[in-house]
Amino acid sequence: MDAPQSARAALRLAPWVVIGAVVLALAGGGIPATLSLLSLAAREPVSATTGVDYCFGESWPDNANGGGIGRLPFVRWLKSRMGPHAVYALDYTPPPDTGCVTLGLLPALPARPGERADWTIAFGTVPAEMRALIARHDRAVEVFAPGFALQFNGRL
Amino acid sequence: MRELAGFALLQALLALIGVGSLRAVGLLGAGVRPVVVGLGPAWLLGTALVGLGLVLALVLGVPFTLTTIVVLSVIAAGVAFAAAWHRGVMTERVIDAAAVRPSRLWPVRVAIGTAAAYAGFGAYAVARAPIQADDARIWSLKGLALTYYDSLRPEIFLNPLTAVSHHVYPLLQPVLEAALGRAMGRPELRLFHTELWLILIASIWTAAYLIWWRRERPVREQAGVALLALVALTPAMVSNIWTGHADATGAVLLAAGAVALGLWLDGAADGHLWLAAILLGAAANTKDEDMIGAIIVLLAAGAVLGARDRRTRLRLWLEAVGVCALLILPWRIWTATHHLRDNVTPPLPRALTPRFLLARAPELRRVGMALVTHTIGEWGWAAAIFVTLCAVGLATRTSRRLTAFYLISFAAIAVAMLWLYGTTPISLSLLIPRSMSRTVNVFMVLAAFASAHLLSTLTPRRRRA
Repeated sequence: MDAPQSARAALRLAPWVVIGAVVLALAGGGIPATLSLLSLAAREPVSATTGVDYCFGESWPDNANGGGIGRLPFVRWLKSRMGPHAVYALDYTPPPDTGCVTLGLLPALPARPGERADWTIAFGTVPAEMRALIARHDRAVEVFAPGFALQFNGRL
Repeated sequence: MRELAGFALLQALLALIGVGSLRAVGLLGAGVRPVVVGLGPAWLLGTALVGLGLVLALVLGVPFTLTTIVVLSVIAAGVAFAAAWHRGVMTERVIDAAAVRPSRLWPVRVAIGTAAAYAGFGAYAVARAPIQADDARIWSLKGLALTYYDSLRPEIFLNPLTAVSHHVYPLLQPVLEAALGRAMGRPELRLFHTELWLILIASIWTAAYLIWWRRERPVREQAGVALLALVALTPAMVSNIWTGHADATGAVLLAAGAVALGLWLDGAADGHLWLAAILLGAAANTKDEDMIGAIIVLLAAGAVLGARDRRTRLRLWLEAVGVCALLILPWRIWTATHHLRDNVTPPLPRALTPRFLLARAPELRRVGMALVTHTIGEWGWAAAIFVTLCAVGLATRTSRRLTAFYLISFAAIAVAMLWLYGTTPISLSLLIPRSMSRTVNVFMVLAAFASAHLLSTLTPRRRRA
């Protein structure tokens, strides 16, 4: 059904009312905020490596105040030791930010429960079995720092 | 250099598939100029088709390699161009409305130049952003795993230790990220932000193309383009893409699909319906919220059609629903066969019972307040314009059916989000601050796109003969 004549006349104004509202919205600060965000991103880029490791320093429920940034050297050391397609088991205390650690260690993969892992990672606390190997100076275990070590589960 | 070449070649391939597909459904004419005008929609459609095809291939166990990506793309392009040739829709005219009046040519050129400069600057800026928040722990984690490995490795996709990545979440965004990584020869997660940015720009382009260019509307009737442009300037959207979250991607695909469906409801050619089915299918494969949104939008269209009892169109609508279901099902079947459940999912069917909902009244009230706060705070302009245009449309009977379609879709999606948040077992103290600002995108982008379409119906139209 056609709109009445007066309604049609009013409708012709509608686009301009909308444009006015949009202009008001622009003045409201949305666009400056967006341009500011994009400018900041353009001026302060991160490298490819830093981009992927960024989450270690990010405040997150499993990573209070971005404390995981302190573990980053260990994660990089692990990657250099394990090789690209290793399967690892994580032995940790306290629980790390598993999503971020998994991303950081890719292409190495976390073992599923019950699955045999090529490597065992002590992430915070060294388990008793690994401590015994360290005490025996077993070459299967490498210590990065107190509480942080890597054990190779295959044959040397 | 090899990386950039890979990036560019992939985009060209996606656009080629889209050009063929748009021609196949009669939405793009022959010649250089129509292709230039329709490049955004073509690229978006190509991206959606390849993404959906790769999700299906992964679920079926086809190795996810560069060869697979290229073969799938070439087959898709071949089928699309063959269908277009068979259909014989190569002579359709697409007239740039601005060309009608030479005096308006320069303002239009300046506007297009400004938009292109902004799109280019945005693409450059977001390509330098870090991988963070849920993107690092969900989307890019899966995307990187698929870049390194050619299958859904159980260590990532089924491992209880990686449950934080939400195994049931749809796979379109990680698949696109991995496809980009493989095309570039090595993972470059930061550059995927640019891909997300292009999806935003292409979705806006698609809506503008469908509403105005294909309908030859003069410049003075194109005020709604400003609404679409404002979506790309809204801080909530840009920050969402900068952080790499999937919310913006799903929301723009859903909104573009809804506009295509809205145009079909308004009498446009059936090609709009098939485009809508693909875009809604892609949205449903991006996030669970968008799957709910896609289903709601399709049902709203069915309700509006049913009210008029137009059987021919109802049959076509049913076919589109079938296409969309086929696109949604592969990933859902895969998660079901692996007995995957998510800790965010409301306890069904109990969460739908009145007793359960009454018991959750305080949570629902809290979520309602948060939804309203974030909607007004981040999308106030879109909410105000959408409500005004709906009121005008209903009161003046100018486009009642169309208004009803968008209003039902908007309201039902908002209620669905209220229900999702209000019934989830996850603590709202954790969930609302972390995700609500992103979740409102799913219905607010739809509101902005719908407003652009509704606005175009308020002025007398001049359709092609």
